[in-house]
Amino acid sequence: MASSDRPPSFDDLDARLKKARGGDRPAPPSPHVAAALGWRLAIEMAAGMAVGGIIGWFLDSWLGSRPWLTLVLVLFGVAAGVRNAYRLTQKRSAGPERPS
Amino acid sequence: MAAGESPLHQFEINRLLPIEIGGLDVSFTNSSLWMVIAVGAASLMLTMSMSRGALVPGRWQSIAELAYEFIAKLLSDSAGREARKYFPLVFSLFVFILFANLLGLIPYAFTTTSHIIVTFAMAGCVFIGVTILGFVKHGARFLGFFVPHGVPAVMLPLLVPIELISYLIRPITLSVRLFANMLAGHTLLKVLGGFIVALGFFGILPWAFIVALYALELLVAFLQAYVFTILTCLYINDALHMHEH
Repeated sequence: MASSDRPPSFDDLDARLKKARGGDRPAPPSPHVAAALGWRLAIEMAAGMAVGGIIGWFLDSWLGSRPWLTLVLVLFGVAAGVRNAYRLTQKRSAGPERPS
Repeated sequence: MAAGESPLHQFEINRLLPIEIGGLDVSFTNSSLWMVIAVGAASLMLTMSMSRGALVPGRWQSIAELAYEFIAKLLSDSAGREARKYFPLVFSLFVFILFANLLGLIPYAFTTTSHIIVTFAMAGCVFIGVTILGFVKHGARFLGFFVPHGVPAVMLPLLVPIELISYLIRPITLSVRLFANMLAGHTLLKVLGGFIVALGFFGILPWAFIVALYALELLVAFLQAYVFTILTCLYINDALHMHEH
């Protein structure tokens, strides 16, 4: 490989650049990216409720237990939506930068 | 403002070539036309730019190679090397959505991705494909995807439905995000456009705002194509590796 005939100062250039830019800390997200994340969280939670409600509605029409399964599954849907939203924010603060 | 100039008028579907097969309305509409244009423009750009295949790429070839490498890196970063098989699908999705979004920004063009049925069809294909992939790869063990580990068995009746629903939400969020962004952006552009005419001389204010908003919409067009693509990659990753922490 060509790595042996490379000047040595080149190897730690990345490290020095990173240090000069303030270490591994990712740059604060731009307003657009932050807005996109906000959108995503809202959609995630609303979709959870909707999907739970729709599944519950169909199960209810099938089993003839009108309000009950819809009610229970809407609650499960809300929980799932919150869980997805929570997982999303966790991934962003812990792992490598993954824009929205 | 006349009814024909409502800000939502731009999303109206018109039949250009009425076709009916077996009671199903499969007319060729303006939406179909713009999808065909998006596919045509993308294919034309990619084949034309790569036809010379020069060692030192020219302007167009650089764009094509940049797009290729960008998606290839995205896929292998988020789903590993085994996912390279699915590159054609992921790349086609990205290029199609990007072209549909960008073509929609041309004045008088129709934005196919501002219709939820279009985005939902794509998201649904991704969802069904990824689920089949998971079962083919792992068999019945893929059901373990819905059982969070390290949880007492008492909690499972509560947590498995939550996991299941949060899996079923995926096609909804994937499609709604793209559709809602496109719909909101294009409606806002049209509303502001109406203000320019209504305000006369002071229309210069909404006009300046439209210029800024248009730049933002360009960014959104890229960003939403990117988001759709990266989420597809992450779903492929989930199906291939389940939860390997």
